[in-house]
Amino acid sequence: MKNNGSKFTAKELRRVNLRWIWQSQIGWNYERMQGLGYLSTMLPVINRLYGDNPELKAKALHVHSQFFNTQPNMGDIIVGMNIAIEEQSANSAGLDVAASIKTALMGPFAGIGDTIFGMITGAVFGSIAATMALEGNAIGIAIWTLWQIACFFFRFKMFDLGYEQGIKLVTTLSGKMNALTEAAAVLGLTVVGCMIATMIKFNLASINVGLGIFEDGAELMKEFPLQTYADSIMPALFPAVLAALCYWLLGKKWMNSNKLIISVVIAAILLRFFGIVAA
Amino acid sequence: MAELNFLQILLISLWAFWGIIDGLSFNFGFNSCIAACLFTGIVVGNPTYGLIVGGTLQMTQLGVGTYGGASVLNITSSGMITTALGSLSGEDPVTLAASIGIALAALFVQLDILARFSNTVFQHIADKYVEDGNTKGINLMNHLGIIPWGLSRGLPVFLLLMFGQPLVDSLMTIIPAWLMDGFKVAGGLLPVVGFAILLRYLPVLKKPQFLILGFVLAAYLKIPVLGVGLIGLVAALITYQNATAAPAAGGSASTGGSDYEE
Repeated sequence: MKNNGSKFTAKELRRVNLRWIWQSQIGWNYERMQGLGYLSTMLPVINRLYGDNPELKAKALHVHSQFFNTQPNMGDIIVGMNIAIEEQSANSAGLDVAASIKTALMGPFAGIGDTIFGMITGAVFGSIAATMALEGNAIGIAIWTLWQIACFFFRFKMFDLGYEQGIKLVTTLSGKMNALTEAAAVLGLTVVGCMIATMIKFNLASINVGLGIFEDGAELMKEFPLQTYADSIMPALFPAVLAALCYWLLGKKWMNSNKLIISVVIAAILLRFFGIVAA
Repeated sequence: MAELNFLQILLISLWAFWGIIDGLSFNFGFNSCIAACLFTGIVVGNPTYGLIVGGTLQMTQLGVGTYGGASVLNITSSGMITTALGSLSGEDPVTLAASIGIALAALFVQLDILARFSNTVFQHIADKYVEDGNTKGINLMNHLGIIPWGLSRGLPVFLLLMFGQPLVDSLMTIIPAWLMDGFKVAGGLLPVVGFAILLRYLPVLKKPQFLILGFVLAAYLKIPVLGVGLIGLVAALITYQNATAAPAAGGSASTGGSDYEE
């Protein structure tokens, strides 16, 4: 880590980084969300920079206790930047800049971080892990866990990036971040397409229909293997239709994911009860 | 019938307590539903059972997270309880996960909200310390948040493992066979919810080709998920290179600094 002219040693900076990783969300609350965690993270920085100036220290404590919430991994970058800013101008104006940078970045960074670290990787590694787990195989969850450990160590890199580049990082990073988000979405879409085809277990039953012709006092029955018909149109036809239906339903204002889960459970019970799907 | 001993219950409850704290901080994977259920399965002597319960529940929440502080179904705690009690009673894991697993996960959402709310008390005390300049006090208040967070997971797991077995057993005798069959079908169908939620977050209308690609590779060509994932990675790399190679659209001079990726 570049460290010339710094008021902190590399070790001290790493310790602040670890404070953010450990403390950012353990005090999460509805009022300030990660605000208390942010303040707590910054305490050593505040003590060092403003320890001999009670007025500035009071201001710093107030500035950093404001509302804050972002995706925790992306927060590493923001904390890194924040320290660099305050270190360069450890005065009232520096604190004002830090406060506005925090507020300006937390939203956009949360959007990027939630997409990359939450949705896409959760979907890709989660579906691989769940698929294997259903076969009694623990390798998938091991892969996911290794990925999470890798993400943990990458957080040091993200912090350093924020600290070394400061505000100018925002301009250099924005193009790359958008590209990364877009690429991650492509990977996510491909995997979800595969999962829809393979992971939804929906087999139509064969239904027997009376033909109205009687032989030896018993009605002749004809069997209609519904699943065979569906397969001849397209493999995984109903999983695809169901996914489209659920996607459409989730777009409705009156629907949410929890209601959708309940609806699917009820629909499954009814479909089974009337013998339309195979057990 | 076998029963859980106190040590088993304690181990599972402690994992649940630590799991949420890990999920909020280091995120080493303790809070992942499958890992937690696998651990529970190992503790009760049936790891496969835990994997199947965990896998079934995980399928409903792929890529779902607490974005912006939203509460989501707590499949980790409910999965641990379902694994421990279910493997003892010998019921089918998919059926149990789709019934009791989902029901408990929905119920536990309230505890998540309660924990997030309880921490506002510590926030208010910390605000007083901000006025006094008491940095040690601020630090302590932040750490006290561990208690509501941990208890919101550890306590229900502990209580249900201590006293829940008769409840599950009697539920299983009351519920008729046709309904159990229905829950089993539901267990196979539930992943569709997870996929639909994900698609809502993905640019599915802008880039439908990749969704179709993944579907065709699996449905027609029968390529396993890891293989499709690798093909998806190829598509992602091409997308990334195209997007960064043409910065003209962005209009900034961001091509020079390649110090970000190494």
